[in-house]
Amino acid sequence: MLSSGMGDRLPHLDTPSEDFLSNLPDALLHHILSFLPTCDSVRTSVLSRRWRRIWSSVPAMDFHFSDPTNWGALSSVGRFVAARDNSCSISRLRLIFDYVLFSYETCLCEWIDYAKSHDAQDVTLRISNPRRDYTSLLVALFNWPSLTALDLKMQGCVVSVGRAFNLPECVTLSNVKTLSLSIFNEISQESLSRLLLSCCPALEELTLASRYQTNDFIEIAAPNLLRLNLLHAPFKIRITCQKLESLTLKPYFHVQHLNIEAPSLASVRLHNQGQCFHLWYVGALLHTLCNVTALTIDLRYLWFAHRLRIMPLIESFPIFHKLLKLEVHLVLCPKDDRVEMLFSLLQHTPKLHALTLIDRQEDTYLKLFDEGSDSFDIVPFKGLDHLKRVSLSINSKSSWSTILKMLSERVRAWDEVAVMYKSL
Amino acid sequence: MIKLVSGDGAEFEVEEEVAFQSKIIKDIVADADDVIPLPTVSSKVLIQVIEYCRKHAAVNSFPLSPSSSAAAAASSSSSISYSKPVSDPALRAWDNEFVKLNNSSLFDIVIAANYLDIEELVDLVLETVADRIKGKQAQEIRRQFNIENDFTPEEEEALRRENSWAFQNN
Repeated sequence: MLSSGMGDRLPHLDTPSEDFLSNLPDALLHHILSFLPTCDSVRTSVLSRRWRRIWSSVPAMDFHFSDPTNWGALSSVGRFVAARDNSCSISRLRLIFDYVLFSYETCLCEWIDYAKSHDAQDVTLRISNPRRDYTSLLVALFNWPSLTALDLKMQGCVVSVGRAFNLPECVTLSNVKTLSLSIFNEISQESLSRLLLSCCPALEELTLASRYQTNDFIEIAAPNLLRLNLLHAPFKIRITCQKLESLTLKPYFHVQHLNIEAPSLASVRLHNQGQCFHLWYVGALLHTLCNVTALTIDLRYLWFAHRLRIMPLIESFPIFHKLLKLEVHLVLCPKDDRVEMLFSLLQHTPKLHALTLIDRQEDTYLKLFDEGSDSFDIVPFKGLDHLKRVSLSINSKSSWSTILKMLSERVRAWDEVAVMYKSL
Repeated sequence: MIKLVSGDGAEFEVEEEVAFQSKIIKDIVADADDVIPLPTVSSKVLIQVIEYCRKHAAVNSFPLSPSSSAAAAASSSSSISYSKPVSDPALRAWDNEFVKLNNSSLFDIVIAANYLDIEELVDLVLETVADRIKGKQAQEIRRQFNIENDFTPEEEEALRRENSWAFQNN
């Protein structure tokens, strides 16, 4: 047994006593501190003389305001700016407000101007309940030629419901490659087109969460766009992006029309919150996507649709000639035919390399629809010769043993397939 | 194939796309032969760096993430440029396992990665170090990294007062 006196010295026994961290060159220390919230960065000043002024040249401003009763917190930004070495640039600006800031414009615009005059390229701003007029803020944010990444989230309720999100008259974001916009208001097609086509010509990644006019056809057309994430996808979407490689769709309501013209599309994620894709639309959708190499699809709703309506869909599945990676979210029940439905999909994926199955059985709502039905007869089975990896997140033992048994009967080189389990 | 020679004389043969994760090696190979001596990198560290490069070269060449090279090429002109965060969840999980090392091993790797100019690896290691600092009291950070406090108590107290706003919240 160790005496208490030995315990104090223990940390030094297995760690070398050299101070590697302080010996790193200044540039790397600045880089380390740039990952930290600004308060953490400034607090390193008391570590030792070496650290005293390191923080003052860190090219980042990162403040998170979480306590509305802490009146002093807002003044810390000004004190930071006053104390830092102002000849050093600010690469990253990150301002997060967890609470409603009533008179935010003056101070926010000041900080934004400071970052802008110090060549900030990467800006994250989250404000809650921007019930006041935020035009001046948007004008400041959206005229920023050095910016390469902008993440703007305006959350909370808007007092004037139905008021549209108005893009400022003049927008200069000519170098922005990554844009993430999360706004409660409705964004009009006119604003969206102007933003994508004339304001952000270099845009490569767009994440959009917004409201839309119910009957509007929303067109996303951006010549250089590589990645598109539509969270709260509109009802009717037309995507025309020649270079688009990856697409994520998270519909909030029914998607009624989805028109995709994206010949380079390789990876697609279709999320499902309830019954968001009409069943009869899925067939057309899958035909649009038959050239992708990676697909994540949520098939939960298929599980409670009537069998008579599903069979034509299954019969019309296209062959996914290039598909290497498939992730399916579904609901599995032991001893029923749903597994067969999955296998009917797998019959159309001859090149498949990696298969991931995620059971969403925890959704009790879906269990209401749980009823037995006749078995789907899908024989003979071909394909899956290339399968190398299977990963399963299925809690029901009998379900996954059924699936593994069926896979092992169908995959020729089953011995060489790596199988992984992950509990949910 | 490219041959890398560590400071202690061990030789490692790696594929071009693995070695080219290092911008320096890419530049050297363009106008010299294919044996590259790396006198300041020990074989122990070089093995780890090659392991990282091999994994990332394999994932980057896979058609699922075709744009990662384009994003990395778009480096900025400021004092610090950041590589694009790794978006592939499987690769990110692999990275998280890779950096589960003690501090001195991490510093050996970051010095080598910085020297070889492997931007993503520098970012990964330095962010890991930052995570080990985040939210901790000065005394804890000093203990963890063997930093000797060479301030007098009065000097330290004066510094805390000078930047008191940073010590108040959180």
